[in-house]
Formats: sequence, C-alpha cells, structure tokens
Amino acid sequence: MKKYIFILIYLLMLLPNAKAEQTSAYYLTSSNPAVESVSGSGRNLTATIDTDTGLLSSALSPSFTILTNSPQTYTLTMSATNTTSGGTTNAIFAIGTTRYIVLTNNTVLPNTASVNNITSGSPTALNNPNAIAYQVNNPTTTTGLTATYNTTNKNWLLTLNRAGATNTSLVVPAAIPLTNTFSSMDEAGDYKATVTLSFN
Amino acid sequence: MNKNLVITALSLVAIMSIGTMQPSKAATTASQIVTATLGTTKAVQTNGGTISSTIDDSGNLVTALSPSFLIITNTAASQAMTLQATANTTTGNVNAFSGNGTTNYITLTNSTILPTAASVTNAQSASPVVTSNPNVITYQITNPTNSTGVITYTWNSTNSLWNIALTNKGNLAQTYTIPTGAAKSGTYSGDDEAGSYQATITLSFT
Repeated sequence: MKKYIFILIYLLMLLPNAKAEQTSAYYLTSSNPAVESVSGSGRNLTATIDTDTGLLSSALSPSFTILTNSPQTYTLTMSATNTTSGGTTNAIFAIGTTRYIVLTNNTVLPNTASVNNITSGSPTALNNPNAIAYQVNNPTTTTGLTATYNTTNKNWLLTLNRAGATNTSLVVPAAIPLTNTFSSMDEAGDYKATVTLSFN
Repeated sequence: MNKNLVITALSLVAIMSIGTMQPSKAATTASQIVTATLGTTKAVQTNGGTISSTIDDSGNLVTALSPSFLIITNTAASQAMTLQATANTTTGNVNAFSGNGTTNYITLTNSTILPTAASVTNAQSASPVVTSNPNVITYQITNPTNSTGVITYTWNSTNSLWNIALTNKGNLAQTYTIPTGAAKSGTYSGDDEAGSYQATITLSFT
C-alpha cells in the first residue's frame, strides 16, 4: 500500500508537466517576403579603341537580371557615371533624341570640365582630353519592362510589371565616337564608365 | 529541457533566416564597369605648304619653300624625332642638310640630270667651287623654331640632321622654311642645267 501511495504522489507531481506538454503549441510561421533584386549578368564589358578613328572594336553591353516574385509595378533607375579628377560625374547625356555615354581615361583622369565640354552638346576636341563619347542605345526592354529616358536626371526610368527574372542591357554599339570627342588629346589608357541599375 | 532545446533551435533558425535575407535586400542595386582600351599613337602627316618654286637667272629662289608637317601623338611624355633631308645623285640619295647648327643649308639636286655625289659634297663644303658642283644648288634653310615644353630642335653636326625632343600631346603643325634669296655662294652657275632641283625633307619618330 505504501508503495502505491508513493507511486500516486509521483504521478501527481508529473501531472502539471504532462498537462503543459499537451497544451503548449509552437506555431511555426514562414512568410514569403517580397523579392526584389538585381544583379549584373555579364555580356561584353571590354573593347579596344582604334587609335586612328576611335572606333570601338566591339559593342559594350553591360547586362542585368532583375528578379521579383510579385507582378506589382516596380520602378528602377539605370544610370551611368564616370570618374574625373574632380570625382564622379554623370556619364549619360543626349543630343536631341540620341543618347551618349562618356567614357573617361582611368589611367590619366580628365578634369570635370573635359566631361562637361562633351555633355554640353557642342564638344571641341582640344577641350575634352581623356574623355570620349559614344552613342548608347536605350536599355533593352521586354514584355512587362519599359524604359523611359529622363532628360532632367539624364538616366532611364525602368518600369517593371512582371514577376520572375527579367533581363535588360545597355548597349554601346561598335561605332566611331561622337565627333570632336576623340582626338590625339586622348591619351592611352582604359576608358571606363560604371553602369548601375537599382530599384527605386 | 526539450522545450528549451526547441526554443533555442527556433531562435537560431530565425537568426539565420534574417542573416540570409539581408543580402537580397542589398542586391537591389547592381553595377557593371565597361572598359574600352586606347593605345598610344604617333604619326606624321604632310600638311601642305609651298613645295615648289622657281630659280631665276641669278640662282635666286623666287618664292620661299615651306613644306609643312602635322605631328600627331596622344603621348605627353618626351618622344624623339628627327628632321632629315636627302637629295638624289647618280649613286643614290645623299644627305641634303649641311651646316654648323647656326647657319644651315639644304642642297637641291637636278632630278632631270642627276649630279654625282661628289658634286653635292663640294656644294656642301665651306668653299664650294662652281665648276665642281654642276646640277647642285644649295640654299640656306631657316633653323626650326623651338617651343618651350612643346618641341626642341638640336642640330646634330655628326649626321647633319636635327634631333627633336617632342613634349607635346595632340596635333602639332611644323613648317620648315627655305627663304627666297640667293643660293649659297659658289653653288649656282651656268654649269647647273635646266631641270627640277629637288630634295626630300623627312620628319619621323625614331
């Protein structure tokens, strides 16, 4: 009998824990967050410049992959900058409806005035050393992706209305430079611009 | 104990989830750098000027000769060039420049009736003898002009040419002048037959 009393007491001591185990619940909640990302996706990023004519040996085509998981409307900005001795400047400008991108010599940096001489729209070769402008196409589009040039900010507004992966490129065709932006004033070196795509 | 383990595990999962979600947030911007490489260039082009004249009965050059060149380079660092001249003889081309660096000459030879090389040598000497330099006429040439920080000419007396130190980036026009006037004494005479008297001036990167 005494033995059974001890067993009963022992079971009573266990009871609260047993009840707790039965009534406690862990609700595991997993939310699927909105995905919005953009990444560089290669293509051709290098070329050579003909020393006599300034002709680009091949098109430059920095490309990006936009990834979203929602068909809602997203806006993004595609822009480009170059480097001068005075810092970073906008590399995109337009003359009429034609867009251009200014590449600057990263070996011998030009001054900002050199880039400004080009982006003014009336370049003079002597006044834009170490900066060369090439025509650039509008960003490539596809169903659910549009691109509009912003004349004020000198960049493109991209509007995305589709989910999944969407590719876009900014193509600089293999062509001669904008007149009066290439000359013997442009020293040997690597002429560069940085193209950026970002969600707004 | 089990409960604590579960809580700990869930906390770790939550922390790890937060950690893995951060990069996708950061990737709302991507950049790519495009690069076009330009090499060095150096070239010389003819650039007009007066390259023909006439010689009158006294041997005077009627109009100045002024051949012009365009030097093209995208290098600012000093580069070596030479300015040379040749004249044709029966035995081939000979140096057409002569002088001492202060007073310098260019010798023109008759391309219709070629002179001998000896005839040129005589005309370029300090005391030319007209009967010893038929079909050769020598004229003074204006020394090229130096421009500080741009181009410097140094007469090379050994090779009778100008050595050039070019320190100019871009396009640079250079004109060399053979003024109107009399021929070098003792180089023009009736022994010089009718014809075109020529020399070739060459500007080149070394």
